[in-house]
Amino acid sequence: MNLKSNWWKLLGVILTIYVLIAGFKIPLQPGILELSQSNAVIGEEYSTEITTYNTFLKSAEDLNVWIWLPNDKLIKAYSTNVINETKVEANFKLPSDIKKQSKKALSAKILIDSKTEGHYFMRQAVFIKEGKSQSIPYKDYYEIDVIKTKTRLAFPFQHILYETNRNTFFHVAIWMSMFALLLVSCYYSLRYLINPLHDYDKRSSSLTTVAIVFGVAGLLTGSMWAKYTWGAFWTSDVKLNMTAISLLIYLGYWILRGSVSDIDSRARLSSVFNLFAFVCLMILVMVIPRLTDSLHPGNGGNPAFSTYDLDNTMRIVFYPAIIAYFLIGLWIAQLNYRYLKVKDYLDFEQ
Amino acid sequence: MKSNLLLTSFLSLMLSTALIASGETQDFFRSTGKINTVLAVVLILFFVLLFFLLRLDSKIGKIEKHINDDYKAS
Repeated sequence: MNLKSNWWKLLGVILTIYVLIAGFKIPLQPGILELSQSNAVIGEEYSTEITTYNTFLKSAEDLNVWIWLPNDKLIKAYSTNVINETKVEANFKLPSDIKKQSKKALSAKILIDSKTEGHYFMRQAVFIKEGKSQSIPYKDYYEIDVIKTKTRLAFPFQHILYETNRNTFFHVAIWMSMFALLLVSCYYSLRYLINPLHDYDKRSSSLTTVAIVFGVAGLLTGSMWAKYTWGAFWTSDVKLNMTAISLLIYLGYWILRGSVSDIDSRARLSSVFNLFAFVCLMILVMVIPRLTDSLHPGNGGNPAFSTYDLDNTMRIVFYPAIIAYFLIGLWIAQLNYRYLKVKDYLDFEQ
Repeated sequence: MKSNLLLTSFLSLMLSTALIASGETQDFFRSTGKINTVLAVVLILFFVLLFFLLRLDSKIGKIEKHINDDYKAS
């Protein structure tokens, strides 16, 4: 194999290996799983047992537990007691002058930081209610700047997802590379319509075939992921149903190709159908889920890939993953294209 | 024949996944931070691609057989 013209295949393989190794070997950030007591009262003592994930609390240096108020002020635990590697008891004295905006309970974060493991926190961990006791006088609050520990190179910890956060590099990336393959396929369809050479049709149809295979893989992997995070293999989520519809449209592409026997009209019809199906896919999968509520992140009005869902550590694996699967898909499509070429040539000779 | 074998192996993999999911060992995919779900996702991806590649392989094999028959005839 000539490396000069086939360098992209090697690149695809190297990137895939990189994605597999980095995607599995980079650890998850430590996180907080649950609190034994999440209700606190202003002006009273508050103690809770915190269960953490992926931590070594016994060997942690300078371990501190904080309550992080909505106005970005911190209250330090006056004593902490490490029970085991993933359990710590923290005791707070909540000052009586915590300001409340409304009558509702104040929702605060819990933050843990240590020299060895960096800092990590849980949203909506403590609910602080109004109390009658005025026993605890004004006490200094800490500014958020006191947290100086750096987080290590790790993927973000997210509730319910846990390690399946890594599926972003497999499930999401395979969808993205499917879109890229379909885009290239549409390019060749367009070229066929401008200049009807059967070579373009062969390229376009093999790319679409591989893209559909990627789509089926995306659907199956998504179903697996959904089972262990959303609780069911198939939910009535908008994006899922719209994806199923677009896959059915692409199934129509195959049926169309199979049912027309004349080569010229088959190529022309399927080129037009391919362009039509791509536009449908874009509207069904990228536009409609944003107009309604969806379980998928980045839908229901929110911009996709916010810093919350995809941080920089994930980007260094996610983008190479898209390129890797795209190149592997191109390779497989090229094999299919070469097969079609040989088949055509042999039929011609007979 | 080859594709039949592949199909059955693929279906049995799917079936066993479903059985594991519904049976007593439900905690398998949820244990150690659900890492086994990621493993299953990667395996599904691999098997789908393998399925397609083996199909392509058998299609190319048919053409090869055709060529070999032509050689024998001439």
